[in-house]
Amino acid sequence: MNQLPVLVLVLPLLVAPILLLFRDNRYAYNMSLGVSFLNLLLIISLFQHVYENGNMLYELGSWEAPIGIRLNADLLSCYFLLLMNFMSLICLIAGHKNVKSQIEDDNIYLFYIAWLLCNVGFSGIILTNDIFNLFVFLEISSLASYFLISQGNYKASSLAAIQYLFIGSIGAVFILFAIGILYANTGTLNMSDLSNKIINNNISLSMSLSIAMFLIGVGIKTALFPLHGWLVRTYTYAPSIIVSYFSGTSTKIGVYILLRIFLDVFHSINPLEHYELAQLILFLSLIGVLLSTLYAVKQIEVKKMLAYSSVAQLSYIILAIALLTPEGLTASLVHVFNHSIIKTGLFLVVTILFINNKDVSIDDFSGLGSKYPLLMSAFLLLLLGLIGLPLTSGFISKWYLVSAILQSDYWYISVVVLITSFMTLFYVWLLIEKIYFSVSVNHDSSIPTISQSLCIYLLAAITIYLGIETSLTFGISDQISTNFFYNTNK
Amino acid sequence: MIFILNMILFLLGLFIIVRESNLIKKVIGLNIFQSSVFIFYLIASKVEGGVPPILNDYQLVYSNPLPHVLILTAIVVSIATTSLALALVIKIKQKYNSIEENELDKI
Repeated sequence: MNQLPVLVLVLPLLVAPILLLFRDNRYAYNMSLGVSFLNLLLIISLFQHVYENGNMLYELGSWEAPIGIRLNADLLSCYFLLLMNFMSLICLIAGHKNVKSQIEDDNIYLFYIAWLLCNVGFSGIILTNDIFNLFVFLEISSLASYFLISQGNYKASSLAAIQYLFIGSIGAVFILFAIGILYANTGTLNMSDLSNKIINNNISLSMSLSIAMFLIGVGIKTALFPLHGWLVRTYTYAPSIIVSYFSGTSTKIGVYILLRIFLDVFHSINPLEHYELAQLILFLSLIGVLLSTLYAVKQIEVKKMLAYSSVAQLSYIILAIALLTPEGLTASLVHVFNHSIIKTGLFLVVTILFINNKDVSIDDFSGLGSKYPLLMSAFLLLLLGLIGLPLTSGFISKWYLVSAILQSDYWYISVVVLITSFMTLFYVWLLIEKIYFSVSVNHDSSIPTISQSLCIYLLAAITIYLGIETSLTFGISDQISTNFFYNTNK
Repeated sequence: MIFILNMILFLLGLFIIVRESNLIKKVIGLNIFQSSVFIFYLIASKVEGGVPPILNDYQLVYSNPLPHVLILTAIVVSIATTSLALALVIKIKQKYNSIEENELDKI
């Protein structure tokens, strides 16, 4: 039981090089599926353990904390860990057929190895309690993701990958610099130790430089408004299955780092309140929501439309965090979970139906409602969740978001949220209209396999389930934000 | 003083990545950018009058060895990034027969 946190990381890290030796596509797929499944089981039992008994610490090599590296599984980590690994497993199952047809045969086993490594990187970022380890895991996942993106069968895929490489590396170097300044100031790299030691330091000039650099680095990762350009570009040219996977994980990792650094490590000086940083972030994310929703309405290409909608939804999440109230944090955590499920589901439908079609336009959806009635009704449910209609999980997160805004000092922001939710209706309606009220054109959509459709149904069912029974999302998020803000049993 | 030189290096690297349109030059810029942070770590680890941390009886002031170890890790990461970037540049060159970004964006 005590070994659980480290097993989550070691298992895929062990399997990945073994797969490299075998060089067998089928074997690679089966093994990565098996490892992901096993990992999910481990994480669920870890979650249960943490939920009942509180934090779970693991000292690597039995070196005590400030000297050795420690893994720390608290509720926040388990929440994100569960989300990431669930998404990875679903996408692995649903994407098998796509990978076969989109990726070159010689590269398929490498593709799955990179996928495993990417996921280990995410899990490592979430679990580690050592701030330098966070950087290393960030780079592991980023390097794997650059490779994954470059495997798309568009002409511009390599270009999109290298541009993402440049911007991602800039972000990582900013984070590295910020870590260096922190270390120079406090002499420790352990996060719990850091948050204890930062109390004594008032905010010095170097400390605020470190905060600014963290903000830039994390902002790039989360696609915070002025830094969001890479997201749309990569989402358009990456292999579509990778887009589905990243839409639920890659940007959410940025949100996790933001929470970990700004609310946990800098807990005692609360940097977001200083220099009106929270106001700045609020302002930026408001512009982000408005502009990207506008762009999403204008798009005729479905993947681009969903990518812009992702930027908008991420801005909601950041906005809720920047309110700096426990309710805001709860709302953002709930929205992280719900949005991941919904957006991954939407991208998966596009992925599954149009294996070979490179640019999926809205017109390609016309008449699909009668062709695949069940799949399209699941798609419809996910779309309704994106708008935030009652009985879907989207409604729950919008509800908590708006009520958190109303309870804070910035009640007028809720107007923007309502307007943009209404604008979401525009582009979602375009799709719904094509699907159900339009004559079928001869399209080259491919027939989904049973396992693929089952994944979509599962995601749609979860959307409904989380819209009715919120103890998993709201219950856990509420507990996390209470821990953060009132510092009980930390 | 040395910090200021280091910051100049940092900004220079960032400037090259943002401004240059040749992808190889961008990779070089990325390397300069990363190196400036490595040097920052090493400067921060230097203790006035400190010697390398080898245990003996008469020297008591040591420089901090930990940043060196951290930077070794970061250098490995930087090598991996560079090699991946160069591999991607080769692929782009094969596909488009050009590595100038402003030309590539038009295609």
